Amino acid sequence: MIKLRMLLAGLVCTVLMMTLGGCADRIEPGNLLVITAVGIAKGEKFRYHFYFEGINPSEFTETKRQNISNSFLFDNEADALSGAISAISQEIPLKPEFSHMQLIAIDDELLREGDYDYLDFADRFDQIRNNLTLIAVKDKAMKPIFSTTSPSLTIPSFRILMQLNELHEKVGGNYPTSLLQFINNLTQSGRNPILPVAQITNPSDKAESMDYAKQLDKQTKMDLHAIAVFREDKMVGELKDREARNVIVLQNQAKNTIYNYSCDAQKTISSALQYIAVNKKVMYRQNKPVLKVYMHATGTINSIQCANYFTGKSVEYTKINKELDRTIEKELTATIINMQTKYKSDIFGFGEKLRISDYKKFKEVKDRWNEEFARADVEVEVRVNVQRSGIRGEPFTNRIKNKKY
Amino acid sequence: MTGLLYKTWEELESTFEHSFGKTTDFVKVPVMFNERKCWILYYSSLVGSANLSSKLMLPFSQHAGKAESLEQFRAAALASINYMYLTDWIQIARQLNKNSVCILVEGEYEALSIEIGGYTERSISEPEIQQSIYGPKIAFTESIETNISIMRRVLRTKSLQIESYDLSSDKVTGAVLVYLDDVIAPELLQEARQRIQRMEGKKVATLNHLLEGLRDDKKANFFPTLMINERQDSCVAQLLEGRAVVFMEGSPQGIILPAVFQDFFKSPEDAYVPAAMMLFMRLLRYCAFFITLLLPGIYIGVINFNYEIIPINLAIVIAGLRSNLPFPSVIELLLVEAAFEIMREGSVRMPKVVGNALTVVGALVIGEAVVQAGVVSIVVVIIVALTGLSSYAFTYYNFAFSIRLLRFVFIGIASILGIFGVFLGCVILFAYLVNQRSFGYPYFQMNSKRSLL
Repeated sequence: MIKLRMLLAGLVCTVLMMTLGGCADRIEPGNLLVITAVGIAKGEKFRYHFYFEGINPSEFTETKRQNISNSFLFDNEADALSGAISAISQEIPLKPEFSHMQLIAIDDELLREGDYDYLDFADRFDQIRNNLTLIAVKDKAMKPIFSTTSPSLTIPSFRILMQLNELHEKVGGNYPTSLLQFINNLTQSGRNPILPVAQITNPSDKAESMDYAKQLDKQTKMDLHAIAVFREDKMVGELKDREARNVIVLQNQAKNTIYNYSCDAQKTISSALQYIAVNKKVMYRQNKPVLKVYMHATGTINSIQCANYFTGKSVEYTKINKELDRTIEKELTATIINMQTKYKSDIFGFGEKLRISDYKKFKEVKDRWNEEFARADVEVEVRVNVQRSGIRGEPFTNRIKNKKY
Repeated sequence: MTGLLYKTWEELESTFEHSFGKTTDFVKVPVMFNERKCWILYYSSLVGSANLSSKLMLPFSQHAGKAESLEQFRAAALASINYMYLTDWIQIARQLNKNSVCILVEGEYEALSIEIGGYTERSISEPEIQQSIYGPKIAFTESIETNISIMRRVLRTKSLQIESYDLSSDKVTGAVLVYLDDVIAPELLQEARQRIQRMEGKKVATLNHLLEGLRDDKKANFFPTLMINERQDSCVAQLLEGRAVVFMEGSPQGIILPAVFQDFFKSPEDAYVPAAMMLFMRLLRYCAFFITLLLPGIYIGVINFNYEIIPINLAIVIAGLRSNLPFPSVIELLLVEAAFEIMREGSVRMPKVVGNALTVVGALVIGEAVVQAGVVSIVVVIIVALTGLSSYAFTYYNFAFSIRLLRFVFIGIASILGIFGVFLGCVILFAYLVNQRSFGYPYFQMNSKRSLL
């Protein structure tokens, strides 16, 4: 009797497991189309034009490689991302898999209009991770972005991410903003979002073929040295190179960067900074906001172009420290003032600091914070501590200059 | 059956036939004992001729003529030999089966049984199952006396106690319980005695029968709760930690009791290496346990259900390797696992001369061919190879066997429920293991000090 009951219980369990188990969700990786990036631009027939970058996985194996392209781009127009996904199956007999998507590129036209209707799907869909990187694409160059061969023959979206991360790690030139951060900054008051801007210089059809990788001189390049500036929910402009870097530093996102100052006509001293810490503070002085920035960093001398400027004594380190302090103060102040006057947009997160430190005041000025930011005084204080000079103390140019013939 | 062994001397011959049958190795020799008639009885298969002549025949020819009684002869000539006086044919048969020789003398109604032995035995050899780099190269043999001697050669103390039991229905199969009486817990000793005594009168011919009788739960025994050991050093170590060892006549292994989960991760080698190294190796064995048990299941779960948790670069490679393959992942994995298991079983049963060839040829040729032909992906071959290698990391073969079997359960559950199923299986397995007992000791007891909870 007990045996029979056990047998029946086992049978019921097995049947329940077979019917209620996840067999229906079963996937075979061989039948998957791994989508690594999605590009969104304004459409002509429908609202949006979607670009999908799919992986050709057999190119990544030793045995099944056919030496064809390792990713492919296909596009279609639709009113929503979900519609575009269902349209993929009409083109490719594989099941699209979005779990490994790591890049969404958005045409700057959409960003300038403040149109984010396509992003809700990415925010909501369980397969899509919300730590994927968002970039803005300039000049309606969505197609070349995803189809230009990279020198190392990697997948274009991998290349963008690697380049972006390298830029961020080494010189703090840009910051890979994630979907979650972007949406947070869009929805919260006190900080306007930024996005990295991707741009193809010298786009050409030739660069979209695999043979282009064989050429030594590559004219078509990916430029990621700019950031898109938003005011409220619309993109209003972009900052390039050093200004972009200063913004990243002021956001306290930079790990390493390089600052130069001139010591002579056209000659510079450059120093690599590490352990950069930036503290921001907002306070009201006579009903006028004051933006205070305090930055501390450790530096290494990168290069000294002026002869007889530096001999390795500690007094000279102090001199370089002071010069660097002044240069960085000037640069950061200029960047903030530029933002105040040109875009009136607080992308640094001063409002956020005020919200944390003085919520009462912030509640008062919340709705007009960007205006408050624009009229604020700026006080920047920088303390750089240059401690190292590489493996050389005195530059060899000193010895050339002091040589007696 | 107390009574006289015989009424008249003449009827004895028919009694022999009645008691011992017509087996050809039963030897009955009529001799003269100081002018009296006398029978010498023994099994020629159990008594060596060299022993017989030196221990019995030589003294017999010298002293038998002068002795007045059997006892006088025994005391004078067979002083150093184990003896026994028997008054019962059943006991005589039992003693004869235990390598003894019986002497019956006319006019005396007690038979003298003396232990002669001396049949050919395997000499002490190196351990073959439990290989180890360091430590004594001594493995137990089929003889209890040799095994006890092997133990006492190391544990020269009076606290080493040996209790003998006669098992099986004829009470001829000898078994001994070995323990250190000042270390062992009295409850454990009591329990061990009881369980061995329970086997008396039951059919016990080989170690299997004894193992079954000593086990806690006779029904579902997925993990071994007793340890089979053939090494001297690990047996001694276990004795010193308060465990008992059971040897049985005819089995070159000792049963160590109790044995809990963590004991199977210890190796006799551990004591010879520095503590850090020992810790590392033990950690490695625990890793191997989880790899053997879970890796194929996790592979199936991840590949078929939770594809998103694989890092992207690996995911792409796996997708590339899996493209255009004929079988679903589960079938593919089961195929390769089956091939591997058959190969393993085949190489165990192979004659030693060709054994090496099979494993090498099998692994290389089949693995390579199958991947080249595009029947299975190389990822699966890697998974199976890693799993197979890990299952060899254990010192105790029967423990590894349990895990080998269980991993198929995990593959099955993972192919239906994915990673969730694997973890569900882990929870159930853990509950099962926690519930197990070995001689009253919790199976999952993780501290080395044994205590009954």
